[in-house]
Amino acid sequence: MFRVEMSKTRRRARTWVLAVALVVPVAVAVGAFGSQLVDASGRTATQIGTAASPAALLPFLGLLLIAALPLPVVGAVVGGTAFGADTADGTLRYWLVRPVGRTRMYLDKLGVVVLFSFLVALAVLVAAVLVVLAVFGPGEVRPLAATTGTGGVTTGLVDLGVGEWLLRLGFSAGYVAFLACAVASVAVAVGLRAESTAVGAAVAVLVLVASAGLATIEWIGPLRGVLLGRWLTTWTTMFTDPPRWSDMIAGATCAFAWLVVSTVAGVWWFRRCDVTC
Amino acid sequence: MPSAIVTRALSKSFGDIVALDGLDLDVPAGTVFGLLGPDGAGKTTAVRLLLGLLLPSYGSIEILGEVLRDPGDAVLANVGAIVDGPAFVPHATGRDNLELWRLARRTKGIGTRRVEQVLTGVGLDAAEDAKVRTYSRGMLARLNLARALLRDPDVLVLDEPTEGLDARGLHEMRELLRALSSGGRTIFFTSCDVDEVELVCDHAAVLSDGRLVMSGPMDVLRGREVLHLDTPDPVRASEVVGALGGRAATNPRGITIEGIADPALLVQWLVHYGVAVRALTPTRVGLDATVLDVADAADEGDDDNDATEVFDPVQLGRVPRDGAAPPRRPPARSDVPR
Repeated sequence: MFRVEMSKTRRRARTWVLAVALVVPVAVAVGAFGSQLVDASGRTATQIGTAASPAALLPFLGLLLIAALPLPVVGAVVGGTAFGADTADGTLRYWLVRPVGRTRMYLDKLGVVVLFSFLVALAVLVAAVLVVLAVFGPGEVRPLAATTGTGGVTTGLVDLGVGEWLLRLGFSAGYVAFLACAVASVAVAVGLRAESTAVGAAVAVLVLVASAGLATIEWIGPLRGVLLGRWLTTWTTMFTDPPRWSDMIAGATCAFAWLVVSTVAGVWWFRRCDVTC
Repeated sequence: MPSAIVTRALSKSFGDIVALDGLDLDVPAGTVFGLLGPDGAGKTTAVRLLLGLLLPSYGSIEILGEVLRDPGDAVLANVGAIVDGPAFVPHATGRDNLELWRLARRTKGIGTRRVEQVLTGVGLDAAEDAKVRTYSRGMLARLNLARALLRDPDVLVLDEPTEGLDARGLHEMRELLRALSSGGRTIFFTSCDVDEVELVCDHAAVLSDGRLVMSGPMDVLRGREVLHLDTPDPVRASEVVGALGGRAATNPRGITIEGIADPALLVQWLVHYGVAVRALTPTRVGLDATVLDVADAADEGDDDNDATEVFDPVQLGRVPRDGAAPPRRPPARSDVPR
C-alpha cells in the first residue's frame, strides 16, 4: 500500500505545486540576498565569501524561510489530503475492500507524508546550497559558526570545516522536516475524522499557531515544553558553536510525542469507525 | 447447496436510526442473488456490512465459510465489490487505476496481464489509456466491474451496479453479469429495479425499512399463483376467503385471492354462502406485484406496531417471526355443508 500511496501522491498535481511553491521562492530569496551582499559591499562575491563568510549562513536562511510556517503548512495540506482526497473521490471504501488493513493503510499514508516533508526540506536545502555556490563560487565559501558566551552573546567565529557544515545543515533540515511531520500527523488524523482535506490542514495549522502563541506565555511554566510552536526555531542553534543539543533533543521529543499521540488516536478511531464515504 | 454468504441477526444502527434489523440471509454458492428494496431500505448498509466497511451493531457474517471478524479480514480477498457507485483516482488512466488497485494487495499470479484481461473483458481496452475523469458513466461502471474482477474472486458483491446507466449500458451490464454468473461465481447484488432482478437473478430477497420481508428462489417468487374472482359481491366474497384462511384484495374487476390451495373448495363455500361467481381464474403474478404486496404489508405491520413477519413464498402465507401459531387451519373439503 505504501507504493500505491507514493504513486498517488506523485501523480497528484497539488504535490508538485506545493513543493515548487516552497523551493523556488527560497532559491530566489537566497540568490537575491547573496547578490545584495555583493552589491552593497562593492566587493566581489569571492571576496565576501572569503572574508566574512555570510554566504555559509545563506542555506540556513533558506531553511529559516520555510521552517516557521510554510513547510508545516505544506505538510498539513499533504497530511490532510492523505485521507481527504480518498474520501472526496470516494476511493477509500474501494481501498478498504481490496482488502487493506486499516492500521496498515493509516501508517502507509502517514509514511508518505513523512517522506514528502523530508524530501521537500532536503530540496529546499539543496536548492539554497546550489544558489550560494552559484553566486559566490565553489571553494570560496568558508563554513563558519558563531561561538557564543554567557547569555548567548556572540564572542567570535569558528571554522567548522565543510564536512561538519554539511552535517549541521542536514541536522537542521531533518529537524525542520520532523516538526513539519508532527503537524502533518495531526492533519492526517483530523482529515480522516472530518473527511476533508481543508479541515484537516486548517486544524493542524491552527493547533501549531496556537501552540506557538501559548509558548510565549511565561506563566504556563512546564506546559511550554509540550507546545510544538515553542521548538520551531530551535534548530538555528546549529549555526552557533557549540550547538545546544539539549534544546534540539527536547524539540524533537516534543514533535515525536505529537506524532505518536495523533497517530495512535487516528488509528484507534479508524479501526472503529464506520466508513460511509 | 452450500452458502457463499450467511448472515445471522445482522443489525446496524446509527444512533437511534435502525438501518438494518436482524437480517438472516443465505446466499447459495454459485447463484445470482438479488437484494431488492426501495431507497432507504437498508441495501447499501447490508453491502457495507458484508464488506467490513461498517461494523455490525449485532449479528454475524460468514463469507465462503469463514466468519468476518475484522474490517479488512483476509476472507475479503476472495470478494470483488462495487459499493455505492464508481470511484477512482481521477487524474490516473483506467489502466493505471487498476494497476494501483492490483498493487494495493498483491496476490501471486495476478500481474499486469490480469489488468489487460479484465479491461478487455469489460470492453474498455480501447479506452484504457484515457484519464478516468474523461470516462462516461457507462465506462466508469464497466471499469468498476473490471476492478471487482481483478482478483478473479469467487464472490461478487455489487451494490446497484446498473445505477445511472442508459439503456445500452444497462443491457451491456446485464449481459456481463449473466456471463460472469455462468462461470460458477456467486453474485450478490442490490437493486431497486424488480425487472432487473427478475431478469438476472436465481434467488432474491426483499428488504423494507431494514427488515427482510421475503426471500427465496426466483422461480418460486416469480411463479406465485393467485386466483382472480369476478363477483358482484366482493365484500362477502372476501369474508368467505378470510374464513378459509386466504387473503383477498379488492380491485375494480373483482378480488385477487391468495392462500387458497383448493379453488374448487373455495367455489363450494362461495356458493354455499350465496356469493355469485362469474369466473374464478388462476393467474401467475410477477415479482413486482409480489414485492409491492409484501412491502405494503410490512408497512401496515409497522403502522399496527405488529411483530415482524417474514413472507415465506413456499408456504404462500405469513409466518410470524416469533413462532406464534399461524392463522387457523382452512376447513377441509369434508367440512363444506351439504
